[in-house]
Amino acid sequence: MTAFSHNNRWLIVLIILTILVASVLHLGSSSSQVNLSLSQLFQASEKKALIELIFFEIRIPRLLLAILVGFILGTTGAVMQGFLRNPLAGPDLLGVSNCAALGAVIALYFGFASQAWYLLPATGMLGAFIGMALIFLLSGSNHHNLRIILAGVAINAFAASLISIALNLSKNPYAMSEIVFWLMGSLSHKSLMDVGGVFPFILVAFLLLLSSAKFLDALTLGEESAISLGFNLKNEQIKLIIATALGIGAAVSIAGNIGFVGLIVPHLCRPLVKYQPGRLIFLSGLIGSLFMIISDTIVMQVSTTQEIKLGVVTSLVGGPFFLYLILRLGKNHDQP
Amino acid sequence: MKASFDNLRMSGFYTLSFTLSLSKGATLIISLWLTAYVTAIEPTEKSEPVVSINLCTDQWLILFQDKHTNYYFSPLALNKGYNYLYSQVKKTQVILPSLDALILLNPSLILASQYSDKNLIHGLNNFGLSFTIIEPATNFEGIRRNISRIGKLINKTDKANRLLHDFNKRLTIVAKDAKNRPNQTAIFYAPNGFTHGEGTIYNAILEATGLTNLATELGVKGHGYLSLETLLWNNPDIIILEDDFSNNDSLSQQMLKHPALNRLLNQSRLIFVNANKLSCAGFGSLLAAEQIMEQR
Repeated sequence: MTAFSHNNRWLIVLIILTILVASVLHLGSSSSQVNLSLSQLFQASEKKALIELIFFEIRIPRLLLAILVGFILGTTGAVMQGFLRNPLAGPDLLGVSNCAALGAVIALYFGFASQAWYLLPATGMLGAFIGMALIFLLSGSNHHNLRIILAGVAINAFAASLISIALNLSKNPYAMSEIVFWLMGSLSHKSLMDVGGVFPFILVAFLLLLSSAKFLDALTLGEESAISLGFNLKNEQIKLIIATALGIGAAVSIAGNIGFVGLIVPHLCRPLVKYQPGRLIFLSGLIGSLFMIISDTIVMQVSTTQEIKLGVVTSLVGGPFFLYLILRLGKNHDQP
Repeated sequence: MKASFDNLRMSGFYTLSFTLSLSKGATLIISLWLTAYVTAIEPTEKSEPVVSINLCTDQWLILFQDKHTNYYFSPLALNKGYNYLYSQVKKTQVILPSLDALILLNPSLILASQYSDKNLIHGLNNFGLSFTIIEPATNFEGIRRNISRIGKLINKTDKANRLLHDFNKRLTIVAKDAKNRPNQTAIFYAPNGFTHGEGTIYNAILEATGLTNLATELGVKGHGYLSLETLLWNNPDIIILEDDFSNNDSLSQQMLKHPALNRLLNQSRLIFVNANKLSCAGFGSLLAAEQIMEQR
């Protein structure tokens, strides 16, 4: 890991403590009809076994998934923006998330998902892998900014239409509601098995992304400088494709397509690490987790009869931020 | 009747010829398909055709059909998962509920529901085709009213009376049986936590079977959602699942495999009801009530 300065270490500690506080709030969030606080878990009562069941089988898996999914979305967004040197790059905007969702949808509706536990994340990963590979193929060797975004938009739209076709053709009565699920994402009704199913892939993806930290720092000087410093561009590209496929594939297959986290989190963190892309990775992961926990707590608090989707909350924040980003980019270009 | 049908078919042909001149290739394919389709649905010399363009009205019409009738149904009528009477429908009786197909068929009556395509209903109105909207029932009294109403609309009041008699007799048996059972709470629970409370036919089914609907107790009006947490916390005696949910080819359905729900199911009684009996309020609702009583 790129060395953090003394101030940065305190920042990391502060963020971890904030994540802990947010986690406690998340666990204690009462849903519409069950008013349960965290303290009840430690009190003797007739319903102790039931309270434990709710906390350990429903609320803790949900919290862990919020942490894991937010973490990998944040880190992947940071690395994609650093690698492509494009502030608009992110797994959702470039269509990688939708490609992962397409893989997962195919696994679900053709019945592979019920054959073995790993097949759902595996097909999600395959979809993300294809999406990432297509972006690199379509954007050409110089990774031109506009070309990357256009390629991403095209892949995104194509994957979304294939998801719609797959779900439209499905005989399953829940197919239509699933379109909404994939487009808006959710962490409700997940179990520890789901957490266990995605954790190894997210961990490997994170380690691979983290190993690119020094390369991303070198890349700020330009591709030729990075190559002259001994980095192999092709190897780093392959590493990014594999890491994104593993991380985003696993996250999307379990939580749906949660937008804007990978886009906005690195932008929020960049000033804190003095714009060094290597240092941005871990911090983006932490802020991604925090952002996801807060968003999911809002989902649990705001929802009354029907839970609003997590992706709706992240998009409500991400949409205006994206507009702000476009305006800021426009101003930078206008400056002489 | 036959003459007017021919006139309409000719006017349809002219319209098609006009559109053919506008865009060639695609329109040609559509025209050929439509011509073939219209030939396929050309009415026989039985009675005047009656068409249903909605699954729920399909189910009513199927109950009234016999060898002298000339009825057409929506494509969902053939779907085993949605229609418990699917085996009584022939492929040749299915019509795509589109305005052009209905104009060419020129039925004496079209049965629609409030959920039917509004543009289609507007079009039927514009072309002066006779249609009736059947309101979906939310209780057994509403089902009785619909039996009588449809019987009158298609001039089969005798058949309607026989159906009513059978319906009431079987419902009385269910109610009598329910009185001898303990008072228990139950809930219809579907993927995504979808459930049915006050003012729904599901609630009426539970009442008829002597069960207290937990969703209604928790204040759900109409259709709504209950989280897994809420379900666990309230611990109903009986959980009713629709049998189509036993397959797992949907992310929503995986929720029904949640370990916490499995533990609850160890304590609660699990009852399966065929989903195709619950898709509409009608005779299927009575069959669903009977199926619940068999498993209580």
